[in-house]
Amino acid sequence: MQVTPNSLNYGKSGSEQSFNSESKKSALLSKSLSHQEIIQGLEHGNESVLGYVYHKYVQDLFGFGSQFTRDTELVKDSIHEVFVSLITKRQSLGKIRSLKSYLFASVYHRIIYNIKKNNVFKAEKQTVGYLDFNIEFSVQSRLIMDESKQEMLKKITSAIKKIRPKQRQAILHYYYDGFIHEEIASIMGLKNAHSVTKLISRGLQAIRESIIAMVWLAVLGGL
Amino acid sequence: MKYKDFSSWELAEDHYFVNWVLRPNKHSDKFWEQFLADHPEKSGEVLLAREIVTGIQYSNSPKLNDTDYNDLFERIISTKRSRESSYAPFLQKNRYRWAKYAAAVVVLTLLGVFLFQRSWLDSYQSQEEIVRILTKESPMGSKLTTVLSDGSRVKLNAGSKIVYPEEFSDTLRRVYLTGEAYFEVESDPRRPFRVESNKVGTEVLGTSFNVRAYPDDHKISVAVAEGKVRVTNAGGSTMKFEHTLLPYQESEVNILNGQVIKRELRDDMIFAWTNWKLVFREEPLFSILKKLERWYNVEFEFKEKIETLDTYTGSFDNDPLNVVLEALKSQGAFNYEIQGWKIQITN
Repeated sequence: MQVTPNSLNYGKSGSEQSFNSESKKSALLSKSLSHQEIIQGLEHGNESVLGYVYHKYVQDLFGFGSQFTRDTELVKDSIHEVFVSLITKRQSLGKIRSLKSYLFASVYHRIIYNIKKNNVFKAEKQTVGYLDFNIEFSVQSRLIMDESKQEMLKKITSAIKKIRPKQRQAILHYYYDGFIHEEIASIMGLKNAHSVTKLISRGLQAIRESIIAMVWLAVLGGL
Repeated sequence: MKYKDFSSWELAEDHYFVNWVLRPNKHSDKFWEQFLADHPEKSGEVLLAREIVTGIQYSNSPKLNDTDYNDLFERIISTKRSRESSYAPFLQKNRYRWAKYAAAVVVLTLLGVFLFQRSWLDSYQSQEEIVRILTKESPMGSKLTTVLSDGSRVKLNAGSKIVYPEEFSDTLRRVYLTGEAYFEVESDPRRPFRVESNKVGTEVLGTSFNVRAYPDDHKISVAVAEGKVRVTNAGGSTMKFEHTLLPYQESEVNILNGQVIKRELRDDMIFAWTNWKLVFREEPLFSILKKLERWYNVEFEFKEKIETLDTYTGSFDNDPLNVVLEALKSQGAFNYEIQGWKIQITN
C-alpha cells in the first residue's frame, strides 16, 4: 500500500486508497491548519494531520539535522523517532506553543543522543562538535543603491563566512528560519533569549569588524 | 522617532524591523511606508538592512529526494500503526470494517470538500497581508514594459531596473528606479505615485512622464508628457529643491555640481526611445557612446585618443548598430572595428 504525504497526489492516492483516513488526508492537505487543529489532530492520532505536519516540516528538519552530521541515515532515523514520539506522547502535546521549534529542538536532541550512542565504542565524543551552519549571503535584488552600498553587500558576502558556528546558527535561525529568540534558545539549549541576542549581535559585530578590516587592507594595499 | 538615527546594521538587529521584513502585515507596512515618507534620506539604509535580513541563507541545506521522502513517511506510519495495534486491537479491527462503507461516501464528498476549500483558501490568502517586493530589470540591449498592481504602465529602457511592492499600500504608490523609465500612471487622487531614484524623488497623481537616472550618469532628468509632476530632492541628497512640472517641461539635476535647472522641451526627443527611436541633438560623443553601449549591449574600447566632447546630431529608427556607427564615422567622429560585442575605436 502506498502512503504518500504529498498534497499534489490527488488522483494517485485516490485510486489506491483502501482507508477513509487516506482520502481525508489528501483533502486536508490542500488547506492550512491552525496550530490548535494540528495539536488536536495529533492527539487523536489522525494520520492526515501527521502527514500534513510531515509535509510541512520534514525538508527543513532534514536540512537542519544535516548541519550536525554528514550521516544522512542518522538524520533520517532521528526524524523518524521524533515523528513517532508525536504519536506516542500524545498526552503531552498540549504544552507545545510552537510546533516548528518543538520539532527542531527534538530533532537536535535525538541527533546528539544518536551520535553519542554510536560513539560508545570509539571512547571519544569529539564528533558531536561538528557544526556546519555555513551561511550564504545572496543579494536578491540589485536595488537602487549607490555604489558604496553595493560594495558593502559584496563585503558582507565574504565576511559572513568567517564568523563562529554558534553565531552562524543563531543568525540562520533568526533571519532564515524565522524563529523568535525564545525559540532559538530552546533549540540551541541556551539559557534564555538574552543569550541569543548576544550571539546574534556578536555575529553581526564580527561581520562589521571584518568589513572594516577589509577596507583597511584595501587602503594599505593601494599605498 | 527613534529609527531616524539607525544605521542599516542597527535596523537589521531591530525586532520590529526584522518582523516587518520577514512577516509584514498591514500595520507594520503602514509604519515603515510612513517612516520612509518622512525620512526619504533613510531609504538607502532601509534597503540595505532589508538586503541583510533577506540575504542570509544556509549555504548547505540538503533535501530528501522523492524516494527517501516517501520511504521515511511510510516508515513513520507503519511504526505508528504497529504501536497502535498493540495498544488497541479492537479499535483497529473495527476501523477496517467501517472503512469499507466509508470509502464510498468519502469519494462522493471529496469533490465538494475540495471545492469548498478552494474558495476558503482563496479568501484566507487574501486576508494575509504579505507584501512581496518585486524587481523588474531590462538588460543591456533590450527594453521591457511592465504593468503594476494599480494598472500603471512602466516602460524600462535598456540597462534599467525598477523595484516595487506587489501590492501598493492604501496611502502611497512607491517605486524605486535605477536607469531610465517612462511611466504612464493611472489616476488615483487618494494615492500619490512616487518614483524614488538616486537623489531625486518624483511624485504624481496620474500622468505620463520620463525619469532618467543611470548610476553612471551624473545628470538626472525628469520630463513630463502629460499631467502635472512634482520633483524634489531625495535619498541622502544635500541639495534642496522642488519643481512643479507641466507637459513638455523638464527638470535636470547635475549631481556633480548640485545645479538644478528647469526648462521647456522643444520636442519629444526625450520620449523617443519609448518608440524605439534613438535620437541625438548636439550631443557630446561620450554621452552618445554611453547610450549606444546600453542600447545595443556593446562595449567601446579606445585604441587611440579621440575628441569625445565634440557634439553630433542624428536620428535612428530602430536601426542596427553598424548604421549608427557608419553615420558617426561619416561625420568624422572616429574609425571603428567591430569584434563581437567589443568595438575598437581609432582615430
